[in-house]
Amino acid sequence: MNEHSENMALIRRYLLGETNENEGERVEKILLTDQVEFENALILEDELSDDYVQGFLSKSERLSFESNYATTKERRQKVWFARMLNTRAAGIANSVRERPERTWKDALWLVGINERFANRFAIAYLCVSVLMIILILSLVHQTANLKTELEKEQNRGREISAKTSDLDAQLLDEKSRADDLRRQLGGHDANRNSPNVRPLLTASLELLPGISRGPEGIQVLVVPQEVKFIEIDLKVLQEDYKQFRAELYDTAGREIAMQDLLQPVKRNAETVVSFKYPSEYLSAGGYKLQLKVADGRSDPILLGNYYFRIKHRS
Amino acid sequence: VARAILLGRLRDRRGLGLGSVIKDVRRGTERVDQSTGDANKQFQGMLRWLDLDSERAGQKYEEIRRRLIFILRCRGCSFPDDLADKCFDRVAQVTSRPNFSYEGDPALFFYGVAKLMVKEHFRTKFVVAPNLEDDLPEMKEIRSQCLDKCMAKLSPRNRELILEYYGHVAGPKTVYRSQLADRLGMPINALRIQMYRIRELLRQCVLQCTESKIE
Repeated sequence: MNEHSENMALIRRYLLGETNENEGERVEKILLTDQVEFENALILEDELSDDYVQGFLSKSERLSFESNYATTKERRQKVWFARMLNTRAAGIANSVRERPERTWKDALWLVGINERFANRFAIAYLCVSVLMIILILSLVHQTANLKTELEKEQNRGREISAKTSDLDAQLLDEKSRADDLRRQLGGHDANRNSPNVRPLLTASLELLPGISRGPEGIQVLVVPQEVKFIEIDLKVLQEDYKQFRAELYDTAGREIAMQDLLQPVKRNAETVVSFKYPSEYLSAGGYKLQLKVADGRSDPILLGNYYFRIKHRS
Repeated sequence: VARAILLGRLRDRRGLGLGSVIKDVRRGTERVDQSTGDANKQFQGMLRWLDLDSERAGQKYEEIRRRLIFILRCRGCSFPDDLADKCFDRVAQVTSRPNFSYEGDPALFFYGVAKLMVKEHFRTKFVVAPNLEDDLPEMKEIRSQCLDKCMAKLSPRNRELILEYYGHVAGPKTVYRSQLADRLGMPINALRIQMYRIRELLRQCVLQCTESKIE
């Protein structure tokens, strides 16, 4: 038995009050001068209380304990505390042991003292980690694929929008061309005969006032069969009038038609008043248009006469 | 000389003229200057005697006091803390004397004084017969509630550990605890020390809780 064990046994007997005076003084000096043995004595003091309440003391020790040990308030507190703690711990241990195996192991796992379970847990943890890594890699791969597809779709979208822009530009061009054509159709007679121009619905002629020529000098408006209207643009030299009246006469001087409240328009830096009339009511022959100012307050003022001839073409 | 006197090895009858010193040691409180200033001065002198460095002196004082209380408790003193403090007061008076000299471990000087005081103590006090029976049911209930409360304050690891350490219900206890120490990967003595510390925390907590509930 080494010195430490001897001291332990001696201290235990001292705590139980079983040492003689010399032994007691020896123990007390050890306790005062040796830190390790003093700590041991403190632990032994508690363990004696445990042994007492658990019934691990011999009969003589028990008698010594009851007569010598528990003589102070603090030691009596230690005894009831030991009783309470041991009862509680044993009760919990019993209840846990009655439960299924897994629950007990769970409790051990909490303090990390069941190595076997800890190993299983480590394996399970490893498996879960590997699965997680695979899952993460798969997600990264899928994300990369989706990114590539997204870029492709974006390129396609850009191409489509570029095409749409081109088409819009073409459409605008077509519209402007259509507008030009429409203007051309409403303008010169020469345009009307152009082979590129679509079939005309209106035949037009532009006349100057006050010009009186022979039958060969009068402008002729050729009216194809499919044309429904004729339009005579009368150039106005006086620009300070706002409303006009146009009267159509045949060569015999009979009034055929009259249009009032005509508005002048600007066309190629010239002021023009348009006279529009259904072609089917005009037979081939010579005609005279009289342009007058009609402000509604006084009699119309004659501004000029415009001559032309109609020639139907089947 | 004082150590010898206090350890009972030196007696007046040997004609060494130490009667007054012995008297001072045994009945020191009769000659103490009651003023607080003087008591403090004496106490500071005692600390300087323990160590010239005040911090180390304080640590030595606390350590000696802790051990004296333990010894006095083992000797069956009802109020070991009070007796230990009286012991310090008396040593402070002795060490404040101009002709005081002592060589050796101061703890043993205190021990000598304490032994004399224990004798005085048991001359005047009656030892109360211990009552180790269970307390009243109400008291047990209060303590049980306090134990639950204090257990909950422990860290999960300490709680599980103390329940397992004390949850031994069958077989030799030493074998069981050795196996537990092996599982935890620590020497059995380290486990005992750890359990002592956790248990002390828990006990102090339960005591405070119980006192507060009684109040």
